[in-house]
Amino acid sequence: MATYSFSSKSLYPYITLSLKMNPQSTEQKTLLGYHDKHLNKLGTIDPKALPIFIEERYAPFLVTRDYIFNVSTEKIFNITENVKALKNFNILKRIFANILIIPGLIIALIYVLQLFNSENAEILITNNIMNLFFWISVLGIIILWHDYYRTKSHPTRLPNAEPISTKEIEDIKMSGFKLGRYSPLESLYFFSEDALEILANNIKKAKFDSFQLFQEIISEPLSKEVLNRSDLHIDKTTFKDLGISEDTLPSYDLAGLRNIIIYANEAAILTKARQIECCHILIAFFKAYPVLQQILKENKNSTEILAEASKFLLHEEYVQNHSSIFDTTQTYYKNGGIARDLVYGWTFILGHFSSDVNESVARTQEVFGIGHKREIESLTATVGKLSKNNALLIGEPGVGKSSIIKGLAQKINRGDVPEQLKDKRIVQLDLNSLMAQASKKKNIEELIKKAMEELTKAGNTILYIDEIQELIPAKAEKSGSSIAGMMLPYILESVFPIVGTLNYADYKRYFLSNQSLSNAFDNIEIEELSPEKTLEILTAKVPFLEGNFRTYIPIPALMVSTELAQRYIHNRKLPDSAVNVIESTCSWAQTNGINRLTAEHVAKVVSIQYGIPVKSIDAEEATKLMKLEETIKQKVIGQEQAVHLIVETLKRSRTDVRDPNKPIGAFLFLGPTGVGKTYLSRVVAQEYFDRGEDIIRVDMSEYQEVSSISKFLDTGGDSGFQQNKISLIDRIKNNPYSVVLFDEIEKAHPNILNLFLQLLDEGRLTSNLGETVSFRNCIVICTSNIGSRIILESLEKDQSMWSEARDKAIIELRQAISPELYNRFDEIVVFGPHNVNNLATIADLQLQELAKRMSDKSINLEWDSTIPMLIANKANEPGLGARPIKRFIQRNIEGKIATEIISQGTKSGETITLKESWIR
Amino acid sequence: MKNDSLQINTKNSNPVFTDVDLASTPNFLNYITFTIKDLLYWWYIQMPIYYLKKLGRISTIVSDQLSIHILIRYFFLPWKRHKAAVGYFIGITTKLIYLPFALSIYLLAISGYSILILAWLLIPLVASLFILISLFL
Repeated sequence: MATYSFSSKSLYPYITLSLKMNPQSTEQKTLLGYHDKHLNKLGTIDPKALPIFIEERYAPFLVTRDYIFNVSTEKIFNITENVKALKNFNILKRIFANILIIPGLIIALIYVLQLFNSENAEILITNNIMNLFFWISVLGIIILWHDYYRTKSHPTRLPNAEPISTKEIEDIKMSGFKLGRYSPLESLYFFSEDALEILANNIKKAKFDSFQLFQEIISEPLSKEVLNRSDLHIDKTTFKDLGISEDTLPSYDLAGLRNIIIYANEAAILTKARQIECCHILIAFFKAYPVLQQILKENKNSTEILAEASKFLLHEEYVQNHSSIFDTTQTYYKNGGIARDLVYGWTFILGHFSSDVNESVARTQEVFGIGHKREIESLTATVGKLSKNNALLIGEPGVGKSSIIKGLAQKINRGDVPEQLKDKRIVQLDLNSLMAQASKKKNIEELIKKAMEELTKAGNTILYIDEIQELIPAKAEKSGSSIAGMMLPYILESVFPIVGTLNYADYKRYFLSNQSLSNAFDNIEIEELSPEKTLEILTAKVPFLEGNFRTYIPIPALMVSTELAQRYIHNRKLPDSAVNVIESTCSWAQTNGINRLTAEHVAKVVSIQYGIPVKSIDAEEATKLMKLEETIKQKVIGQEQAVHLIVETLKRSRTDVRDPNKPIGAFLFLGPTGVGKTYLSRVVAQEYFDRGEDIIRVDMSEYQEVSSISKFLDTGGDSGFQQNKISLIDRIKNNPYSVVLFDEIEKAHPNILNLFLQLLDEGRLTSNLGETVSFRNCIVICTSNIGSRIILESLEKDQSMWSEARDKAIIELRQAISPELYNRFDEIVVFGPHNVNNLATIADLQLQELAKRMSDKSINLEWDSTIPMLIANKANEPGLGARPIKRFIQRNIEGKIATEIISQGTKSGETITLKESWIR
Repeated sequence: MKNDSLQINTKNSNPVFTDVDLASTPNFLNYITFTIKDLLYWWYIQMPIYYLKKLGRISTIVSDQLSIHILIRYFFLPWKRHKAAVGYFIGITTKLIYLPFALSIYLLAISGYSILILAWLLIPLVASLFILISLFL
């Protein structure tokens, strides 16, 4: 799987963000190869280490599924020399054509003179020479028009590259290229005039100066903007600092330029450009020269970002020049015209609470349904049927369900649908407007009945209902609406196609239980878009966002938005979550007077909005991470090994050296009661997530029966607002960044423990209603008392037996839980019982907490250094850990302090000293 | 072959790509000959095709905006799908009244643009003819 990495250096010194592409999006479209002329052998070029062939014997080429692009040194020389020579010729041609036009201007002058009744003018007008002058001028105009418009009317167009099948790639790697199957093309034919001219300018005496060429390329306006969009700041003034010189970008024989041309050709094809432009040569430079690769690396940038910026800018330029509906290269979206209602009849009533999707998409240049080609095709097939032509688009919020409807509307508008769907229109039912209309005018039943009659008569309509579950009786009864009952016959009889959208949970809740209803619809499941497609959507929105928020958005900011949305926002899916992140960042930037977004800004807004600690790991943060173990050890006494194991895992997670598809950490804490298992979990929550001591605690003893699986996987649903009914699934949905503590897992039913396999392995759990919640940002801690007895008994006899006791406890654990579950924990941490010294330290900590509470009331508390040890000795109850200490302090010390305050009348600012007598 | 059309297009639309090594024979006559050939090819082959495509687009737009296409397609459909004699009568009559107006606007637009294409084709010929007449008659 291809991965391209990006990150902002200052933002993530340790973290490298990466956009992982799904296999579909990583389909290879090009292959680079070379021909060794001496040995007559063909080979592939490794895209990770692109060479420059200085020797003539190696000829680079580029292969797509159907074409092979070549370039030869001879051709480069020939064409670039032509460019130079024709430049002068064209100047002469234009001068000549302008001279031809001059007689026309004279004629115009004569006609002006005629207006002033000049006798000479009269004579001239009747003269035959006037005709000659006029038609010569026309010839001049023809020459100039040809010169100006020739490349505009018939521009060069690179062919589209189709994906090369995996089998073919494997064949090529195994047995080499079979060049006969490709149609040969000359790379240089696809260069733009500007790019060719720049190449020609830098070829002197059959050599090309790569340093000079690079300088010219980065000064070209489009390339300049590509660098700017990519957050790369390179210009002549920074060359020295960046190590760009004639040594690092040397002069080569013309043969060396072939590689640059082929790599630029590849960049142009992969960015779906129409021609090879200067920005593609720029990308080729960054791919081929080590010094430039190093600059990218140091700036945590990549050629993929440059390519994305080029693609965006070229597309923008193209759209600006081709926005006319008369432009035949653009798709014209039909809207039916002014008299379409003569055919279909009016929908007066429905019009009050609906909108025409076809009309709205015809007004915009935006392309809908990006990345959902399969789903749109499936929807087209369903609504085109004669019976059972209703469709349900089922998907999680944000996956682009409404975009699919709009995509279908665009297909209808451009006539790219089967015959039976041509001239159809999609009407979206607006339930809120319907309610408003019902309260204003007639009753709802009457409105619905008339609207349905109109739809039946109109005959050309596809009804689209967003959140269709609102119509279903079970749901409708709750909301007091009776629309469902009236619409059901139309749904069941498929009088006209109805397309509804809803999520999985609602589908299971309202449709699966109703056989006839679910049978009336074809289900189309919508999957979350890949980051690559999401980036495409975000890029398409950039002009709109920049126009609205007056903020410059470089490509890395978009990439970070996609990455952070995919990783951290789980209540909505891509692309909507990423769109939301970038829009929020733009809005935040506008409020704060920031006119250029950076990756840090995006991360900051995600942090603010979602309470997710994606802030930069700056020096302070790094120090905090380094000191995490020390900090936790100050709070958790006597469990050094447990703390060390956990902190190591958390460090790995924070620096992203972990599998992102699993929870941040999965630990099993073993040990007797009161040794600090739960307390350590709370401290981790506090130190790692900055969430106080707030953890999600699940008492597994509540899930002892097999029937409790459904309770475990329950969602709160409508009753979810009641605190006591919030389920585990809901709590994770609301707090994806949490420590989740499953207490006493050995008490849960084995079938429930089986659910942990999925949870720990894939970092997700699927609810009863089919909703999936992610645990990938959680620290999962399970506790168990298995082996406690062994530990306590062993240590009672001999404290030095700890290692043996721990091993015995683990053996007992392995007998109690399945090996699959055992293996899924990152660490099994055995907590040892506290000795009296640990208990004394814990007592001291407890007293410090008490002193802190007292200081809030301005009463000081002090004690002798012997007091904690006295408390430890007095309160120690073997096998119960530190809990008796807390109880002892509450009962004895706090009680005595209270008595002291009342009896002695202690006032603010005074000090109470703990007495040994209080302990004895 | 797909690549033929691509190569012919690029070669013929730009003298830079010609196989004739113009640079090795620095003769302006070569350039002039090529430019004239290129101009004639562009004016009489490429541009008429381009304009015909545009005529097709104009036809689509006007037809769509005036609903001509769907009115003809559903000419015999009854008014509001009311399948009775009255429905058919009203449906066909309304279309009969509207279509002549729409079609005349459509024809006007199409014929107007066709005249422009014709003028395009004639201009160089007429210019050359009149220059010759002015010179020799």
